[in-house]
Amino acid sequence: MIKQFSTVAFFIMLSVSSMAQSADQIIEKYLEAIGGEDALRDLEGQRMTSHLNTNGIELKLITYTMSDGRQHVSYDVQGKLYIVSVFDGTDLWGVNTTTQEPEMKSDQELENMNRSIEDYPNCFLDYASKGYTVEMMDFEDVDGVDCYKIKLTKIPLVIDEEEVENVLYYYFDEETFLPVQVQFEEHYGANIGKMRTNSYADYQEVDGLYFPFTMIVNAADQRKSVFTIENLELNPEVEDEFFTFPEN
Amino acid sequence: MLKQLLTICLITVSGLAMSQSLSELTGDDLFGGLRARHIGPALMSGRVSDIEGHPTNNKVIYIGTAGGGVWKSQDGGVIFSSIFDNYCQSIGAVAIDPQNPDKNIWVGTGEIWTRNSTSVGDGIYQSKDGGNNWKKMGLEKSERISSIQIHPKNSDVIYVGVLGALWGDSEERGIYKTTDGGSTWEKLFYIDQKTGCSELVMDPTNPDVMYAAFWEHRRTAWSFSSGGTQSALYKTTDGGKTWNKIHNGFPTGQLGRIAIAIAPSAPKTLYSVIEAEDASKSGMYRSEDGGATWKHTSADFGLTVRPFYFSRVVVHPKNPDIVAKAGLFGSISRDGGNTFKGLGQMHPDIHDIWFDITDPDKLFSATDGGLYRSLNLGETMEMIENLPLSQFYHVSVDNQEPYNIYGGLQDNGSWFGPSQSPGGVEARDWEVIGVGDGFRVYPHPTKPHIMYSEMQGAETIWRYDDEIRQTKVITPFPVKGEPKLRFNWNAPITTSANNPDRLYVGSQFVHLSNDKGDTWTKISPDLTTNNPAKQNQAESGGLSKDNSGAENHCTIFTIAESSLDQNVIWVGTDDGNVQISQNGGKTWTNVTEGLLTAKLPANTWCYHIEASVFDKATAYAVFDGHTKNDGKTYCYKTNDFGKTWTSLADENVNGFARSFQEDLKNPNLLFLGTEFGLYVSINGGAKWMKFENNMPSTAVHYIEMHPKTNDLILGTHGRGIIIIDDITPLRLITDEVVAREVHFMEMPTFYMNEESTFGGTSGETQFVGQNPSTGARIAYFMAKRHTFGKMRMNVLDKDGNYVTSLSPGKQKGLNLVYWNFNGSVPKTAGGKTFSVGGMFAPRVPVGTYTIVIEKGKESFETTIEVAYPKKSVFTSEERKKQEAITMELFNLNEELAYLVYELEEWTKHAEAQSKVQPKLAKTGNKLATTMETLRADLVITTGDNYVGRAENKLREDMGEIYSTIGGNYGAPTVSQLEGVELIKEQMQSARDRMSAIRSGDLKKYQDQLKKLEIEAPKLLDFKEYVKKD
Repeated sequence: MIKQFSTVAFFIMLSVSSMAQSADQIIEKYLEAIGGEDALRDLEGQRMTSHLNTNGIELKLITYTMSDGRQHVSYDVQGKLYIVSVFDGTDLWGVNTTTQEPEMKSDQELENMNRSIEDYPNCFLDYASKGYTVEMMDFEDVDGVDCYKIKLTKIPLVIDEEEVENVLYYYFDEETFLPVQVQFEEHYGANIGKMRTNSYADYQEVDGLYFPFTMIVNAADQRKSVFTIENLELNPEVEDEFFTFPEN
Repeated sequence: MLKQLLTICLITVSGLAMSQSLSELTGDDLFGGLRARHIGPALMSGRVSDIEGHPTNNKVIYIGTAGGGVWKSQDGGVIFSSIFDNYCQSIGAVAIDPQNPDKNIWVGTGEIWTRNSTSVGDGIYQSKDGGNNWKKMGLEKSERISSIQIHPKNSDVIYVGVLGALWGDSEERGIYKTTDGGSTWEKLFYIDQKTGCSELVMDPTNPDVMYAAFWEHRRTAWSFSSGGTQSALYKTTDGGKTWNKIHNGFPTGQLGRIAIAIAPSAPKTLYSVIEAEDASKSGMYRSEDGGATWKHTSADFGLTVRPFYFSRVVVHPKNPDIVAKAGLFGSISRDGGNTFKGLGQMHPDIHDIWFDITDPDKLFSATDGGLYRSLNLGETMEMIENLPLSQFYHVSVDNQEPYNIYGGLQDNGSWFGPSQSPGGVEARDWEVIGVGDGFRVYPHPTKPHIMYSEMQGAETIWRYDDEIRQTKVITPFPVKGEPKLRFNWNAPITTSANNPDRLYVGSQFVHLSNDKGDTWTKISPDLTTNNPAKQNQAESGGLSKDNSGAENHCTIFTIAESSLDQNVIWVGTDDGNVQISQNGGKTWTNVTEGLLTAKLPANTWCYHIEASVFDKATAYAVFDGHTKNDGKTYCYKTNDFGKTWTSLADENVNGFARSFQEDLKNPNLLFLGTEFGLYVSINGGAKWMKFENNMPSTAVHYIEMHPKTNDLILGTHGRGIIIIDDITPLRLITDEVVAREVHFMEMPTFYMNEESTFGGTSGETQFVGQNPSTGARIAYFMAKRHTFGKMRMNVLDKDGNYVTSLSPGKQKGLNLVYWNFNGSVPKTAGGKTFSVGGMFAPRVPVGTYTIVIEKGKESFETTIEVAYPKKSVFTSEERKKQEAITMELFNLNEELAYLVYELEEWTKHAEAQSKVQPKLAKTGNKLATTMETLRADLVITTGDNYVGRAENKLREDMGEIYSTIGGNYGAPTVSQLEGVELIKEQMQSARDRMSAIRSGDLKKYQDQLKKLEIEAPKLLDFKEYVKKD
């Protein structure tokens, strides 16, 4: 009984004290909660295999993200890998699903990739040195969870040769300091100006760091996609050629 | 740290959950994944009140609307997105900070085009991030904000023109100023309690110079008055410290509403449109000297018509002689206001016009029927088709499958359209069944091709037969010896649950027809207060007479016949009476006294009465006091035929009430529509919760519940039709349910959907209404959001075999997960390209399925029943045949996949070993060649996924026939069966070839491996292979 009371009391204290949190304090607690800033800085990369369920269609997605900015995203259909997007630090390319030939991505996509390479391992880690800013916005309920709302402003995106503010609204659980949801604006096409929402759940530990193993994406057009991580490997060994544009 | 937290959370989750009770929960805690869907429509859109463009970027345009909030375009007016859903949806003015136009946006709420049905505002709001987030900045009692002017050099200095209360005296009017970005406001200029600032404009070259139009006006439920001695145009040259009338050249006598605009390219040039006592002096005035003198240039009808509704004048940004005036059709002058021509064809009733800042020929026009765009300076207009702003007064539904929704709209006629449609509910799905302003529309209860609609003031009531597309006017007329009939602008019509041919219409009397409107019987005396002082509508309008019928008063507004007893009829009137007959209209009892005892103010408009479906003595009544300047919520219940009434509204409800719906199964589940959204009570009205899941804070004018689908259908006055599909889970929420960690709700049998998916012809610039999901809806309640550890949902068949996995919702409260009745896709052989057919997941057979949620170490499960559609041309035998052959082909796909896997693994091994082991090279290379030859006959190994694709191989042909038969609902055709036989023969041939390889080249290779002590490849067995990702 005493143990139960003290546990509840701890929660009440945690929640009362958290009312006066600044954005930096929340971010600090968040980074600490997922394993600590040092552990994040030591991270050299990750290989993630996840299932994507979008409108009843299931795909296996394989993503490599390296701390130097290199990325490799592909999906597996019937045992064959289809490369969506690869960044080798200089070039951004993908394989055309129809022709199955590699093609360079547009200058705009490359520019925006270059502007986001410091997001890994975590966009809040040393955010100021990346030129990002944060702002405490409000308290809101998300999925029945009391949350802090924090505005993260990253380096502007380039859309049609003009710079566009790159803002994400993070909702951190007031109890755990983990992000429950992120919202951001769509900048292209028929969904321009509409908000997209990513919800996070199933936090699990991998080598001392915590990751949300489920991400539910509610697109601006109401379509819903669910990413479920099946396997997450930290600091994978990857050959340089893996990222290089295949000239042949 | 997370580990510690995780432990704490696991310890406390159950404790917290067990202590949770219903009374503590808010809507956020409870409604979870139950979301509203919007079906518009947008083809007639709704009233747009204000247009505001970015001062330097013509791609960014904002519109404020009469009841649909604020919308923003970032692509020059092609696509608009709603950015103000959570706040008051009635908009007076939108303003953009010239110093920080990408971020600082101000919205003044409360429409200023003061028609009878206009809504109310609740203050001024600011966004500092281009509309993503908003904060209320005060002026809560302003009701209507006409103008916001932001100092061009100081973003904290803002002037606000407040028109103020329409329906009563108010001191919160005039011009307000803030110098601290809205933290505090100073009332800068005030006339009196009846006169508000209808327009405030600022000289673009000198912010100390402003012009302000003041309008004396008043609306009551029965009259409107525009004009008086206090209406005037003022000018300040010292930033608002002093204001002087600038009437040199204006007509003498009383003035009404005044419009004022500055030519941006020549700020001394002003245009003003005046409503004058002498009508010949009304119209356009022009000043060339900053208002020192004025010259009357035109009194055209297009300029002077209905000033209270059309009073916006706009000057071209680059040409001071091009000036446009909002109006019935909209007018434009190219000669400085001397002569005007009409704008191109669009919906009438134009409220604002915006000229593009860079394209001299592009303009936008705000109308009663949405937003229009012109690329030739108004010669021709095209409608923006993605603005679902439709303003319904009422909705009803029929019993068809899918059901149709019927309703009438402000200035946009009467319509019906489907609640769902292949590809989404598109503009083409809606059919018009009445013109003018539309109000109550009903289908005949048993003959849905017959429907009733009306136009304003019951000027015409139609009976329309959709089968033969014929109409008959059935309006009741006065008979000899009886007084003139008084119909409300929004006159009540209703059908009967007891007699399908019965129709009621309300004037001051109740009119009853039992033959679909051919014969009318008056079954009541005058049930209103019949106050003669409220019946002088011919005098309504003030300086400009305006007797449209919109102010008709002392009329019946709502009629409800009890579904339990046709003799029990409830009537509510716009002047505050509630009357009941318990003998089919022979005698009537005025039960208003009981309401007054329960603190309802006298003469408060009875907006809706809901006769209970559980008890004929029970009814609910909602009252709207806003036309008496009273915005409180009035919602009452009686259990004794109206003798006594109990108030149900609590402090959680915001806004005056217009609509109510009692649940059809659970008497404690109630729905209340107010001017600011939808509220739900699950305990009989003891506590209300706002429903905000994709539900904007828009006025809910009518609520209907579908008896078959249990959908809640909302007729909103600004955001079209909004549906909450199947609210059954709300009926089942109890204290016990909310205390459990995971609680599966009781679910009905789920019927498969076999309808065609053909449809969807709209482009990306057109609004398309969402369809409901057609899958099985698995509903469960969670006491707390799931955050830590795995949470999975699997479907098992009756024998416990895995069928498929679903993505579970993880919210606190209700979670709804949809299953499309499909199992998993077969393991399909890999190739150079993908097999589209191999991506097909077969439908499961009907029967019982178990839903299992694995949440951390715990497991929760329930069973559901899956059945074939009730209506279908296919027999059970045909379906069984289809299912059996589909699964036979499913298995063949997997067998082929495994065969190809074996070939690939051995080929890889043989090729690799042949390179490093010379003694193996001969047999290894031969094996690789043989196997590759077979593989190339089984799967595509060349080409691409489009026009460069290779000829189909066995995998592709097998996938195609598998998905074709699996995608059908009945037995396979003879041709398909012949195709299956061919596939089976080809598969047998592949097996035979593989057997020959196994006993030939492969055996030799294996023998050699053994001899050389080289490890053979470790192949998965079939079961392991098909399970592998």
